[in-house]
Amino acid sequence: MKKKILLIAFALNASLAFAQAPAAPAAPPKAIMDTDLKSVDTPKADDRLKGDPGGTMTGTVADIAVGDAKKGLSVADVLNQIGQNKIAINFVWTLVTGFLVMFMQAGFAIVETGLCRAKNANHTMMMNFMVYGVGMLAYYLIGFTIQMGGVGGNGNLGGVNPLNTEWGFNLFGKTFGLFGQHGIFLTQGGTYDVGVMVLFLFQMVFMDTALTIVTGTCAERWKYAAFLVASFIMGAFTYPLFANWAWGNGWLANLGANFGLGKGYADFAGSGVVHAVGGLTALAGGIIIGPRLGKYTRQGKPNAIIGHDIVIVLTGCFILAFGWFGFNPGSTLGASGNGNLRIASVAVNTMLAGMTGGFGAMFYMWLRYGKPDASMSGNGLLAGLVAITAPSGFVDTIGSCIIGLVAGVLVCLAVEYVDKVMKVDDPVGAISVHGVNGLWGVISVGLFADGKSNYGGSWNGVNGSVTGLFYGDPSQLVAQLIGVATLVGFVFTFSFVIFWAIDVIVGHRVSAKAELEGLDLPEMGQLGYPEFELKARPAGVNV
Amino acid sequence: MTSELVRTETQGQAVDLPLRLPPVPWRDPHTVSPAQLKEYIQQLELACEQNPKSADLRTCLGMAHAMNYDVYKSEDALELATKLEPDHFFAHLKYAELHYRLRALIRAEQETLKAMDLATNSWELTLGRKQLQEIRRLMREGTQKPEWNKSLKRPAIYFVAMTIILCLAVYWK
Repeated sequence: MKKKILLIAFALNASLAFAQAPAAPAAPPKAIMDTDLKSVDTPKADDRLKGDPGGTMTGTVADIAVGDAKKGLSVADVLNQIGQNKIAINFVWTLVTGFLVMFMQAGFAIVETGLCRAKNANHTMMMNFMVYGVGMLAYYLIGFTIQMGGVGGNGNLGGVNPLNTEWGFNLFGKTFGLFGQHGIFLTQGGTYDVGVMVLFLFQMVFMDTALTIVTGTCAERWKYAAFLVASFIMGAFTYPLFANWAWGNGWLANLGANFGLGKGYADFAGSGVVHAVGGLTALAGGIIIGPRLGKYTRQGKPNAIIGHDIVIVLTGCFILAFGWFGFNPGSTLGASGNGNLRIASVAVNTMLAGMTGGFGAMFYMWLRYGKPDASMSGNGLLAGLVAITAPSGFVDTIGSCIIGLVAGVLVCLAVEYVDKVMKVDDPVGAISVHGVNGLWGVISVGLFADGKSNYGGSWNGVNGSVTGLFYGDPSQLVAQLIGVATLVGFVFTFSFVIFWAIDVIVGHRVSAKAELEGLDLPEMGQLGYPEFELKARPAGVNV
Repeated sequence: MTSELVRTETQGQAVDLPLRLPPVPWRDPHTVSPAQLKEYIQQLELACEQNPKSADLRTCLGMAHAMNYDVYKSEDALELATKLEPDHFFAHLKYAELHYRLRALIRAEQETLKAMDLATNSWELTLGRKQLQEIRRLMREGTQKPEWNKSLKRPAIYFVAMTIILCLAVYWK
C-alpha cells in the first residue's frame, strides 16, 4: 500500500514538474523596418469620400503625421505618434478631471448657502463664487511658482522640465526644499509649456478647493473685503507652501529619500494638502472672527442656528461626490503608463469611502439623537471622501471602507466637540469635515497602504510602493505623523497670524446691525431671495 | 415695582393687580433714530437702577438693546427680567422673540411655550400663538440641527474601540 502511494505521489510530482517546465523559447521578435510600413493598407481616397459610418476608416495609418514626406512613413514617425498618444491621453485625463474638480466649487457654494440662513444667501454665494477668481489670481501671480516651481519633472505630462528650481537649505547634509522659483506668469524660466499649463490648471482647482473651505466656517459674519484679502494670501502663500513641501519636491516629500521614512510624506490627492490646510485655516479664522451673534448664551451653551435649505445642501453633496471622481483619480496626472491604470481602483475606493462615511454619520445620529440627520449624513459622505483622498491611491477596498466609516463617525463627534467644547462657531462643519478628517486621511495612509500600488516603480523618488504599518512598514506612519505635526504646527499658526493681522488692519467682523439684518443688503446690496419674506412677521409687539 | 399693587375694579369687584408698564413703548425699530434710541436706553438704564426689581423695566430695556442690535445686553436684560418675575408673560415672550430673531429656533420654541403657559388673557395667548407659528414654520422650512444635549464621553469611547477593532482586524488579516 505504502509503495502504491509513493508511486502515485511520484507520478503526480512528475506530472506537476512537467506542467511547470518552461516552454520552448519563443522566436525573437522581428524588428519592424521602415519598408514594412509601406505595405500597411490605407483607406482609398474614393472610399473616404463615401463617408465612414462604421468608423473603420477613421484613425488609421493615414492619420499618422509623417516627418519627411519624401521618405514616407518611418518607424520614428510611428514611435513619435505612440509617445504623443500617451501624453495626449494623460493631458485629456488630467484636464477633464480638473474640470470636474472646478465644478466642485458649485457644490461647496450651495452646501454652504443651504446651511446658512436665507438672509445671508447672496453673501455666502458671492464668497464662494469670487473665491474662484481671487484664488486663481493669487495662484497665477505667486502661488504656482512657490508650489510647483521646483517639482523637477513629471513623466506623465511629458516632462514639465522647466519647473526645476527649488529653494532650500542644508541641514545634517540633507537638502530641505522650501519653495519653488520657476513659473511666474507661466512664462518665466521656460514655463510657457503645454505640460506646465496642464499642471497649472489641475493644481489651481485643487488650491481653490482649499480656499472655499474657509468661507463655510466664517460665513454669516465675515466682512467681504476681509474675505478677499484673506483668500488672496491663502492662495498665494499658505496653501502653496505646504503643497510645495508635500507635492513640489519639498522637504516632506523627501523624508523617505533623506531619512528613510517610508516613501516620504505620501498624500495621494490631498487630504492633508487640500482639506487639512483648508480646515485648519478655517479653524484659525473661526477663532479670530468669533461666533455669530446668538450662537452661544452668556453661559457658553451653544444654540442650534438652523440653516434654510436642506434640499440644496444635499444636492451640493452630490455635486461634490461627483467632482471627487476628478479629485482622486485625476491625481495620477495621467491614465496611460506608469501604473496609471490604477485609476480604476482609486475611483472605486473613492466611492466606497463616501458610502461608508454617509452610513457612519447617519447611523450615529440615528442611534444618538433618534433621527437620521440629513445635514450630518451629507457631512458624513463628505468626511468619507475627504479621508480617502490621501490614501485612495494606496489602499484596497476593505481599507477604504474602514477609513470612510471611521470618518463618518468621527465627523459627528468632531462637529459636536468643536461646537460644544471648543466653542468655535462653524455653521457648516467645515473644520470637522475637512480639518479633522483631512488629518485622519493623512494618518490612514501610514496605517492602511497595502504596498500593491506601483506608479512607475517609485514614490517620491524612493523605489517600491507606499506601505503602511499594517502591511509591514511603520516608518511610513512616522512620515505621515510628521506631516500632521507640520499641518497643525505650521499651517494653523501661520493662518492664525495672517487672520489676526487682517483683523487689525481691515477688520473681519461686520457690524452687529449688518449681521442681525443679514449680510445680503449691507454687504452685497442685494437680497439672495428678494421674493422671500425674510423679516419676522409682527407678532403683536415690534422689537 | 413688582411689589406695588394697583386696585382696579373688575365686574364690580375691587381686585389688587401688580403694576405693569404698557408693553408697547417702542415703534418699529427701523423708524427710531439712533440718537433717540440711545436716549431711551439711557433713560431705561437709569430707571432700572432706581427700580432694580422691576421685570417690566428690564423687559423694556432688553427690547431697546435688541433694537440697538446689542444682542448680548438684550439677552442679559431679558434673562434678568424672567428671573426677577418668573411669571412675567412679556419677559418670556420677548426673551423667546430674541432667540427667534437670532434663528436659535429650538430655544425660541421652548421659551415661547413657557410664555404661553403664563398668558392671562386671549390677547397674550394670540401673541404667543403667532410667534410660535412663525418659529415652527421656520423650523419646518429649515435644516434641522441637533442641540448637543448629551455627553460626548460614551460615544467617544465607543468610537475609539470601534477604530481599534477595525485596525486590529486589518492587521491580523
